[in-house]
Amino acid sequence: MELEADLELGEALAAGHVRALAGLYDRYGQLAYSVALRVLGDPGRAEDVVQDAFLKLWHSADRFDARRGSLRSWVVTAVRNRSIDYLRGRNAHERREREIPLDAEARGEGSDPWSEVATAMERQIVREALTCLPPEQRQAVELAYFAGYSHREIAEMIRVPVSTVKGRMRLALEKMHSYLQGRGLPL
Amino acid sequence: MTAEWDRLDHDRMEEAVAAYLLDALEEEERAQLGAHIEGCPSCRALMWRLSRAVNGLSISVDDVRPPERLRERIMAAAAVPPPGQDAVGQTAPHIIALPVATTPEPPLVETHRVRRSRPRAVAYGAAAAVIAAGIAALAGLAVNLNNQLHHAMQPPSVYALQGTNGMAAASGKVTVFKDQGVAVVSLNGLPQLASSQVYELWVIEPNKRPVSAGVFTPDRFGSYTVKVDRDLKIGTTIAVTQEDGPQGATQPTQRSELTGTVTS
Repeated sequence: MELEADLELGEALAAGHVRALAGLYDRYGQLAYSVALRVLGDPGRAEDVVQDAFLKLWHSADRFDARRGSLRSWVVTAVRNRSIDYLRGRNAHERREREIPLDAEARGEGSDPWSEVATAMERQIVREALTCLPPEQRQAVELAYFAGYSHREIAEMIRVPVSTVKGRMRLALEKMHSYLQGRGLPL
Repeated sequence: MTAEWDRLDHDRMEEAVAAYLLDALEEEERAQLGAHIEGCPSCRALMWRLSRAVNGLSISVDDVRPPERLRERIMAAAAVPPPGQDAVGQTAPHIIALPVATTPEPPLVETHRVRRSRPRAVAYGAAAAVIAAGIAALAGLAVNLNNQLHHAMQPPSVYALQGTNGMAAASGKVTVFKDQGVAVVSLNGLPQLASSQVYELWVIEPNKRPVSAGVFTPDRFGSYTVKVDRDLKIGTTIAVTQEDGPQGATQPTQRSELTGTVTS
């Protein structure tokens, strides 16, 4: 259902309807700001980053493809990436956005799993999933995602081989995936 | 031998998919993995699966309501048409539904100003009115920009201003609309001033003396947005200093602790 809403909103955005931008913000602005604030820890900078991200999305709305992911992940990825760019002192144009490639098998799995679940329940379940991770795996994931450290930087920081950091990241995401799937989230 | 090398390469790449999704790879490794994933269904499937967990990370954060003004800021900024779009044919969808200022903007447009000498309730009411007027002015700016647009547009460029020392908590950005020869400077987290002082914005072109772009007082949130009617060339520095009010100074009297440079 939300996939249809995403498609509709995405089309309106691509058509340049400013009300669609307002709708996008009303739907995901709070989450976007929460993510930026979590990464940056500064309300003013979080505002700047959210504004930049929404303008970027507005100006490139025709590139949104609902088959690659939900509007929510599109917004959150943009906000998170810009927040990290800000932390690293990197211009946004230096970044090459990660795109999840289309895959026939993957498309068959259905829409983005996060689109049909209430946010509060999702948050609780995701937090449980994080809590269940071994501390070193959770640390690797959070240092990368929320603090913007590379795997090499993390390896130097905690004095383990780079391969160990990569392995911890993979194990963490695999376990999270399994946990979330086991809790009935539509993965 | 080749098959063995391919397998080792695949294993190495596969192990890095999680780091790729977490944006934790160096650029070269990132590019290699990106190319590998294009041709590797197995890694694509793994990436697709793990991406659900990564998406979940974002919703694990505490839910914080953004300031009301953020929505207005975004809508005002979005009123400038997307790059490359025909302003004539697409004007209507991009003009926001806000009151439009009927008077031309001065070189420096105030968007937020609080008269702190008034009682709080009155001051907040006045502030809200001034903010609304400021937003209207920004909308007016956007409409004016729309009207000035030509068919071939360049995307706006955004540069960061970073604070240090006494202004370490301050930040800002400069959005340069090259085609229009104007820029919008948005500042946040500015420390409150002594009543006798004002902030002054400076435009410093390479090897030239600073030129004042005007004085201002931020709102109670330490925020302020100004339009600068100048074509900011590469190498130009935007700086903010605290000066004696109400007129400010003809040249900076102190080292700026909030600066940013137009780099390219």
